[in-house]
Amino acid sequence: MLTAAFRAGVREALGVPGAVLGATYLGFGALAFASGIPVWIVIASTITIWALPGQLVMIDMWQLGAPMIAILLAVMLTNARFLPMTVTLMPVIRHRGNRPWVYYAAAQCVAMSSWIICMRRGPEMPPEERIAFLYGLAVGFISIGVCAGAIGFYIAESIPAVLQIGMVFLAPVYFVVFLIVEIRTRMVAIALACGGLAGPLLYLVTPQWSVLIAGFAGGTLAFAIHKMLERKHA
Amino acid sequence: MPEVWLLLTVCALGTYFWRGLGVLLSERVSVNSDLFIWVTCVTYSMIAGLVMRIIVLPSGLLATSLTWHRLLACALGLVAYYILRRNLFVAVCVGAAALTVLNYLR
Repeated sequence: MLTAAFRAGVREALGVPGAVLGATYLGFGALAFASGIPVWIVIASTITIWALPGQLVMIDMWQLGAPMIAILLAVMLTNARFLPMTVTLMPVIRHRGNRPWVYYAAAQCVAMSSWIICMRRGPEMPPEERIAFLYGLAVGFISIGVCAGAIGFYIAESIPAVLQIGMVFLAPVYFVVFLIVEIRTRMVAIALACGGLAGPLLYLVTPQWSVLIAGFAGGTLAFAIHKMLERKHA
Repeated sequence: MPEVWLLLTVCALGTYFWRGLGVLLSERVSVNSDLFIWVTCVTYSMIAGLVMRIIVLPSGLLATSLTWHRLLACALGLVAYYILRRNLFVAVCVGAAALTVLNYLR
């Protein structure tokens, strides 16, 4: 019963969402190679951090020689979305039969792709099967991420130079398209616009701190605009 | 670079901090509070800032391509998404292929 739910999760992960994920991690591996990051960092960060934007921030800032505290703050802020994501996903997989600590293991499975699928499919399943389904999704996705990242790293050098540029462009173009098509609310649109402008501008001033300051400044500005518009319409 | 393993450990723990805290708070936090909304704004802003920085002012291999080529490739990927049955995989491939071709023809 539970193994069936686990296998259903793995199968779901190996479909179209897995193909997108594989393509972006292929690009991440290639980008890491181009940035002089060792392959074991590609693999270990995929398993332990398990969040592509956070991994990108980490290798990008490390390569720029940013102080460790700045990298940690930027990675933590980029991944702060896991707090609301975990808060919203836990009620879906909660079941009386589960031991309390399993939620802390399940939390490591929370990432963009598995969260979206589990939020949609979870409520259609019997409550006791949902956590196994989430584990299946995570095992499928992380396996794809690890393999694709390593493959991307090793083929980055051997593939023709003309194609390399397309490979390292996979992850950035994925996030551009994904962020734009996933805009659900005016608030998110404002926050993306503010951050999108602040990021490159602040990079010209301070490369090491730009991601962090762009997030705080752009996000706070977006929050203020959101509150102002809300009050105007209230 | 002896401290890269330390950096990875610290970043992994920092990332798990949010997931663990999420479990802890999942029973008592309000997703409608101002603090929650502000954190959401900062998160989206930071991701957008990073992505736009990589597109507009990249480092490494991407820096050898033209800025308007990268922007055009993103736009084509976006157009492909809406034309071709909202398939993210196809859109990503079109975007990457577009930059490859534009850069090759230069």
